[in-house]
Amino acid sequence: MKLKRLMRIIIIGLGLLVTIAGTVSAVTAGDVKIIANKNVPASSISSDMLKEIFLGKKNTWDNGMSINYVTLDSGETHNDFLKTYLQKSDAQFNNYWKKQVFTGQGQMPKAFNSDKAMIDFVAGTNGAIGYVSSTADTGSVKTITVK
Amino acid sequence: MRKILIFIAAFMTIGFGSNALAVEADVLGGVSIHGFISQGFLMSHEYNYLSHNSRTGSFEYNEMGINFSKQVADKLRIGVQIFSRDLGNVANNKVTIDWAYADYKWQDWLGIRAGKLKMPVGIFNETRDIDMLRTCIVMPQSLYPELMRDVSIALNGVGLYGYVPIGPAGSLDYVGIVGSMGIDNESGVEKYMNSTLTGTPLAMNGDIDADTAITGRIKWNTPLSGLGLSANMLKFKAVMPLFYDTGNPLTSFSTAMEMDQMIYGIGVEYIWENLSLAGEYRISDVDSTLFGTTTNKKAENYYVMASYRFNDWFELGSYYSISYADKDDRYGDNVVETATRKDHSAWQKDLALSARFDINSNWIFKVEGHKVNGTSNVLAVDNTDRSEKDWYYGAAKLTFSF
Repeated sequence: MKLKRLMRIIIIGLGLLVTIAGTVSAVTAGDVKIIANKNVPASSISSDMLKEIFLGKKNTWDNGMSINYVTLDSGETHNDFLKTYLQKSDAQFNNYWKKQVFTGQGQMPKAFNSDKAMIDFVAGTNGAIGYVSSTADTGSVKTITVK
Repeated sequence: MRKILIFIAAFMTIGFGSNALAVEADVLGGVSIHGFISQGFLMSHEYNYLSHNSRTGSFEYNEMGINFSKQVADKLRIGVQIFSRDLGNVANNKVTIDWAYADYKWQDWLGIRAGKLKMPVGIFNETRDIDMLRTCIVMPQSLYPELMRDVSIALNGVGLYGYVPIGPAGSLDYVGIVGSMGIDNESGVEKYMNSTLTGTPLAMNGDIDADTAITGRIKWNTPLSGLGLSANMLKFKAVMPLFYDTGNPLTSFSTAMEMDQMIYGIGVEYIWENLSLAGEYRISDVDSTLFGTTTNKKAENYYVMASYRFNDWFELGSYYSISYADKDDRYGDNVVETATRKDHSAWQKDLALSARFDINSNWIFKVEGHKVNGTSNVLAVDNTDRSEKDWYYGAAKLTFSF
């Protein structure tokens, strides 16, 4: 009987948490620019291909060069990119990669905490692809159009 | 005990020292290190479930693992995960190699792995030990029975895998593995099997010897974003040594049961924004031969599961899991009833409600409750009386990962 009462309390408590939590989330949309190293043999790619790349399913460019995909570690640009092109939340994206890591099927993509750090890495790494906010200075890298 | 203490100490040193270490592959010669440790608490009403002493509350419920991997060449990766778990009076934190393999990804559509490989039997089998990857604490026991984990967890062998786009129809992910199964009796298998043999003169009498097994899964990522459909299978033969106790040491004898088992199932997953849905259906078809007589039994198992993430720190989930020990006797008509065993031992229907709190990116706390009807997975060895049809259990778990 005590356990039943405890479960009732837990259920009521969860109901209250749902009410509180539902009022907290808010995401603002923004523009994202896809960038790549200048030697990447593509100036436009499909949204499906972009998704395949960032989920680790496609690992080579058409000319055989290895794809080196990198991410931002958080923020509005990161969330917008995930939602727009991967149809995932940050939590879902992290869970996806943790699944790969803890089953030995992949390694987490390298993550950066700023547009500048991302651009510097992409500019200096063969086959690299990433994303930054639309206002970032991307003169040292190639901008990729998503079809 | 000493081994496990060393393992935990090493884990603590690495894991709690810095979560940043998890991604600092560059400073470790390209070796990535990740780990997790989960400590749970089980409590049940009416029956001891999962843990032999859950009625009084049990902390004998944990998992921990640490993995090391390295991209040694453009297409070649190697890695190993060391794992340990405790579940009541089985497993007992024995340190094992969870997976260890070399992975050569020749093309996106074809890669090969060799070593100890996790079996793709179901949507969640490869990640069943990793608490932070899901909302619930206890996986649906219809498809992911904790005590029988070793029978479907990994093979020592080789596997092929790949990803194949199929144009407007979406894409396919596939994996197939052939190899040998290593079943450790102490992982829970012996306890489970002896429980099913309770009331007979038979008991297990040594390790199960499993033959070459083959397993695979194909998943269709449909054109509807977030919707995936999959099918999976596992086939193996095994010999289980038994002791037939006549009550007289002079006439008691050793024997063995041969088992030819085929498991096949289908699954569906759908992710839409913060909502995740999943469901699976499985048949376990086993031919058992003892004293020259072969009997066939098909167990039927399925579940539906839903979870919703409300924000960065809170997620709520629920599942309804059903198992029938014999799909041809769903209502227990053929169960021989006694004072302590009733027709409801033919099924088990488990309704779970789970809450997950992401304290930060490393720490997760969960709590969940279960309302259960039926006793097909309630073990006789832990419960002398299984006559009550409706019962409850709950769990809480704290997980650290890096």
